[in-house]
Amino acid sequence: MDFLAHLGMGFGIALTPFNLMMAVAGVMVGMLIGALPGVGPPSGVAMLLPLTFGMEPTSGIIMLAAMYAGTMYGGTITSVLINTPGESASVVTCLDGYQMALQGRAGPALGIAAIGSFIAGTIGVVLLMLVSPLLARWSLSFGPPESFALMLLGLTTVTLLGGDDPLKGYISMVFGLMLAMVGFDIISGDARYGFGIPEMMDGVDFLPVAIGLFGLGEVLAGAEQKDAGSQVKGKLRLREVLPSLADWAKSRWAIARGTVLGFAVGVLPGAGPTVASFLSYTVEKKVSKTPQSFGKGAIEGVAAPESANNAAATAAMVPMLTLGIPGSATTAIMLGGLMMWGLRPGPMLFEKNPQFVWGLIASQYIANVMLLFASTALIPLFVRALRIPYSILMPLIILFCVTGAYSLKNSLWDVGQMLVFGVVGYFMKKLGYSPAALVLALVLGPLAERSLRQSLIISDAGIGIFFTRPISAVLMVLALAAIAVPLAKWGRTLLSRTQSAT
Amino acid sequence: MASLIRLFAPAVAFSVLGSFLTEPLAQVYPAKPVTFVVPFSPGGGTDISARTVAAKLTQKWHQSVIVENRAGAAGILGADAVAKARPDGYTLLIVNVGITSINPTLYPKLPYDPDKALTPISLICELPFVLMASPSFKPNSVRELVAFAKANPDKVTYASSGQGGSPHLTAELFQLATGTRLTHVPYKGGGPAMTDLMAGHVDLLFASVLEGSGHIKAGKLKGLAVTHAKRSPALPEVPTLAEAGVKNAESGSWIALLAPAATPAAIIDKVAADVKDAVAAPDVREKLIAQGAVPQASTPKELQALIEKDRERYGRIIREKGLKPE
Repeated sequence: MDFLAHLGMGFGIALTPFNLMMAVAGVMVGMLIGALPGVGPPSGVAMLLPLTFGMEPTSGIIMLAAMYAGTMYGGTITSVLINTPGESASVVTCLDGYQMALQGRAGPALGIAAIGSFIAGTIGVVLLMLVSPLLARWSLSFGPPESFALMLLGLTTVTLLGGDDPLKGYISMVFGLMLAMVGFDIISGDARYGFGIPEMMDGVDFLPVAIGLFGLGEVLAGAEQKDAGSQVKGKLRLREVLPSLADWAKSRWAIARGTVLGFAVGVLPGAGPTVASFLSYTVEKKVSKTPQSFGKGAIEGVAAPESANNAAATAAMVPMLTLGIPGSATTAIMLGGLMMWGLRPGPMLFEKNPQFVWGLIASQYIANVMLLFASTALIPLFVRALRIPYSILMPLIILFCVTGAYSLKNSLWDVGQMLVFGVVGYFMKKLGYSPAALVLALVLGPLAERSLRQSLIISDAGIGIFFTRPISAVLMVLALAAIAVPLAKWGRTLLSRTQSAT
Repeated sequence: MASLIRLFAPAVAFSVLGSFLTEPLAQVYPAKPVTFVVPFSPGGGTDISARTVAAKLTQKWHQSVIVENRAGAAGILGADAVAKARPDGYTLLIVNVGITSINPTLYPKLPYDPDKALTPISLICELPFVLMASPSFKPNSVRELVAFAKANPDKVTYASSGQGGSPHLTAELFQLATGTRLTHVPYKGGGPAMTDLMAGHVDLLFASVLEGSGHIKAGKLKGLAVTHAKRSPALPEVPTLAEAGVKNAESGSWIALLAPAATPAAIIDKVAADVKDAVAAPDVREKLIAQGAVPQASTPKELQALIEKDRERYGRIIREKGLKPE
């Protein structure tokens, strides 16, 4: 039981008063930062990184890890309350979280997200501790062909992301994929649809798009309603603020599935919490007995992605700690911090700096406990925000959207982008197109394109590479089935209709 | 005699006045916080080096040196912001070799004039690259690699952090110098490229010594050669390209400080001298070396010469190969 001794040492380090204080501060600051749309975990960690340079490396990384957990949850708060994703991994939470808020169930939505995050985060740390080396090997087996197959599978789930008409789902997706084409061609380097504007060279950043589509789009649609009094009908009592036993019964398995899926996806290079949250939402809808309730305030639709994104965030530390390679944008910045402290990340980190690694792992447990307490204690306060009359809340949301889009890169261009997509979001909402499908395509599109073309370079343009490698082959078959089955069904109904017509 | 004095008096007065104006300017500078614009995301090598030097200058100047990240478009957005900032010495730009010496050739239409809008202050450090091979790749040395690649043209793949980045151009220089033909697989950033190299999805990768040395020491990757003139203290057992028999392929990145073009010369000289002291300070040196960098300050003139030399060298490759940016 070597690792128990190590873990004990880790807790010994993490539970010193100063480090505990750092964990509390990290969670609190993280929640605040995460609640501001646009400022997600990467920029939050980046903002605090310089502050930690004066500290002991272990205290510093404890604070950053706690903050990471805090921002992940903070993003959920705005998704649920005002339909504005605070960070990218909370986009999909808007779908059912905001609907729950409109039904006066913002409390249970935030509560189940906190509980799901806690469970997923804790299980994630246990997995991180026990099976890191094994997982590192699994992540290495994911080369470009496997990544492409996974992204393709992700794209096929697009019709599950709201909207009653699958065709409209596909149209939204294609629009998203077209937006994903903007920017430099990764192989030839030709500028695509850039109109010579430098800001367009990196392509369309999806966070301003998501903030516009969801947050601003919602405000514009809401402004039409005449009696825009309080957004939420009915009273809010404290006892209704926490999830009920029935909610828990519904969410239990969603949390479990979200955790496992989130962790598996989070370990993979390039995928990360955002992809994990989308995939787990669609899986949940697929296995649900009442898929029609999704998008209309299904608590599983909040529980699953919120668990998945936390599990994925923890899993992203696997490649960082075992291979010394960042698994996500946030861990890339944390890795920069490690170097700043003179710790050389890499396979030797566990052997050379055990107090650091185990202190970090122990602090993850502590951060998760803190997060659960802090969030449940603050939920009644957050929920009260919904009592603000809509005429006052609305300008505040717009302010939130604008500052959020700006603070992403200190760029007015992103604000403009957010405004344009606010208008687009309004029309999509009116016409029944799914903004989530667009955002998913915009997230997955560049990843899919890159891995497709890398695979084809490696295979010298043979598509066999996708089917001769086992993991890739399985994923490809699943993806193709996901496309073929609805097509066949559609064809059959079309056929029977023409037959009955003749 | 008197007429002579009268003739020179205004000139003398002017020059006295001139020195009077510039002297205090340099003496009181910096009178308020100075901003270093880093045109990349936080946490990268350029950002960390900038923060290390900024922290030292903050101590020295008793004024905050704030690092502001303005990432996007291969550093063009941040460089443009500084190019158009007030040339008063309070907004300075951290650059790497890409911004000064690759972008001007790669991007025909920059929003600023790369020759006129910015002026050099000082080099901060050099960042040598290391050529690494996947553990499953057969050749174990540069010599074996060249022989293998010549026998199998276009079959050997190399990853890079992105099309047109300095690691990619280094690989192009290497092919030119060795007469080999390799296949380029671009990634988005060094991390994913490193992962796929370790797993053997690609054969080779040029990356900074910082990114690579940990993996090479742990035996997860094979270090074939460093691209610097001297061996790296972080990888003393890995030969230089020249030692491995490849001439004229020395490469690598470096990090430097620039100012908007019209910044007073007195301020430029003062900052250059202070950066030199900062880079020579033992704690800064130690931090930069820990990051796999070679601490190296310079005069503005030396930096200008370096910028031009590298622009010439990379520009030739870009034009010959018809490369376009990513």
